[in-house]
Amino acid sequence: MSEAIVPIGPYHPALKEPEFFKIFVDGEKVVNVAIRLGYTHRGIEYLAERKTFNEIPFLVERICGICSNVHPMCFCQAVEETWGLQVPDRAKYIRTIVGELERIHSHLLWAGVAAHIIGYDTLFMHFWRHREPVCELFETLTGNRQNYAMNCIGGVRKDIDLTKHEALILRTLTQIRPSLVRLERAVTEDPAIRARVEDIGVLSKDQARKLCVVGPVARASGLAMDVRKDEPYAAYKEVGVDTKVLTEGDVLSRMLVRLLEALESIEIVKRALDAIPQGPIRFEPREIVPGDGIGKVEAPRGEDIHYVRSNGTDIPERVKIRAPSYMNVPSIIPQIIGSSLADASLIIAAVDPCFCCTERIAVLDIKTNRESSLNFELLAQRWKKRPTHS
Amino acid sequence: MLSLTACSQVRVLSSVAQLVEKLRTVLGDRFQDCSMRNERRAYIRIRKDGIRDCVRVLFDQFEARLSTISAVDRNFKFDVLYHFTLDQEGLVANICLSTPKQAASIDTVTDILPAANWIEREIRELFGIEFIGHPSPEKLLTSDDWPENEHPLRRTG
Repeated sequence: MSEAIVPIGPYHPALKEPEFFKIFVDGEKVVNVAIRLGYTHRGIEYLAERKTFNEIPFLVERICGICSNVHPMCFCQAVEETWGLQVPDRAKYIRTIVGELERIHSHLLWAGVAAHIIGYDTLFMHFWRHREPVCELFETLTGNRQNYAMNCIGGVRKDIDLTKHEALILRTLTQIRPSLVRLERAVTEDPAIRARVEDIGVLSKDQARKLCVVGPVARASGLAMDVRKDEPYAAYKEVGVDTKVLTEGDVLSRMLVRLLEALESIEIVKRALDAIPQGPIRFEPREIVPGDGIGKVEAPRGEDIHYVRSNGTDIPERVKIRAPSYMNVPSIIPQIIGSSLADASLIIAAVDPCFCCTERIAVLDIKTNRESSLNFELLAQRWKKRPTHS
Repeated sequence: MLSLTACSQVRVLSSVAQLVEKLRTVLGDRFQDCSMRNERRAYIRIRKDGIRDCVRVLFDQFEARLSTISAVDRNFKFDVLYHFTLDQEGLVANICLSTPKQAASIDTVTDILPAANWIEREIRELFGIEFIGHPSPEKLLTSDDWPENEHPLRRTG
């Protein structure tokens, strides 16, 4: 039997990031997939070995534009562990608040993209409409909508003036909460959405464990892991986290886990605002201690881990960075095999890959050996035209 | 560096003690030593030929999750750290081993733990450490025309 290959990727120049998926199809059915990455490998680890400790938070902040608070926080925690540095309580709370607000905007961004892919643009606009106030809130609190530059080794760079901004934070959260509840209901109750996401891209608990997936992908497949709970950093021990775990492992579960988490993040921010203490926001490091340390943060996409080795100079000997999508992207392979080609884009997007793009798609028909390239829009149209008997 | 007894968290401590005990039995003289940096970080040093048995114990019996593997260039040798997370205990068990820089090689663990697939490929590419028995030791990150014997994170001279 001849085989068709559908290449998805590698890049769209304006919108999303590059990654290449070569999808082997038999008719509409996906029989295999090969993933090629590295199109935007920027050598961050190499650069980090040539910069001073103080410069690296700015460098790693630029790893990702969506979860830009995660990497500097993770790096700072790794260095603080290496040097045995304490962080003031107020700084821990500020890190928690910024981290959770970031989770809300990241999950809403993803939910919007997912809605767009399943062809439900009204829902996409609703999700993004509620994401916008969170980005505006970031601009007020930190000066930037993204890349907040809040973290530094030993604390945070900037205080949040709560006498001025607490009312605004609470107003924003109170305003988006009922809408999120409504949107969550829309996802679970709308038969048109359910038809596209239920039992699609199933990742079993056993597969999830073997591939060591993290974050919402793991929690949607029944693995109760959350760094905020398992190894509380920042102020999570004090404010607490209610981890959402579902067992079905399909796209619907991943969608629900993220929406429920966004709702939980709202509560975490409120609890943190209630309990935030007064005091300094940074303890200056006194000396550079040789040794090594690990930083771990629950990013919106899952566990982020940094390993830092210091040799006593102001430049680290090694900075190892492992972002969550690195563990989650390979889980696309078992999910996608056996599915319909039309669901491929949704399955790829459902792990919320932070590369974040899969814009071009190559389809190779295994019967004719003909290869063709299409983009997401065309692929979505294909779904609408699919033969009903298949 | 703290000794095992100085740690406060009893549960973590008992699982570390169990883990060390088990690894000592399975690995014999391939097990070298264990130290605790704090109550959440265990550093277990083994000989490099013990890695496969070590991963089997961690994955099958302690339900550990492989967070990642870090390689560090130490001029004449590579230090390689397998960061395993025990989620229930909130513990990172770092399995540390070294390989000489000349003809650097370690046994693959991808067949035991598929999550190591990309991680090993990346280390092979960036440091030039061979993972013996890897099912698909192809390029992961560098471009197709990148020379095969140039490893970006490997220090020369």
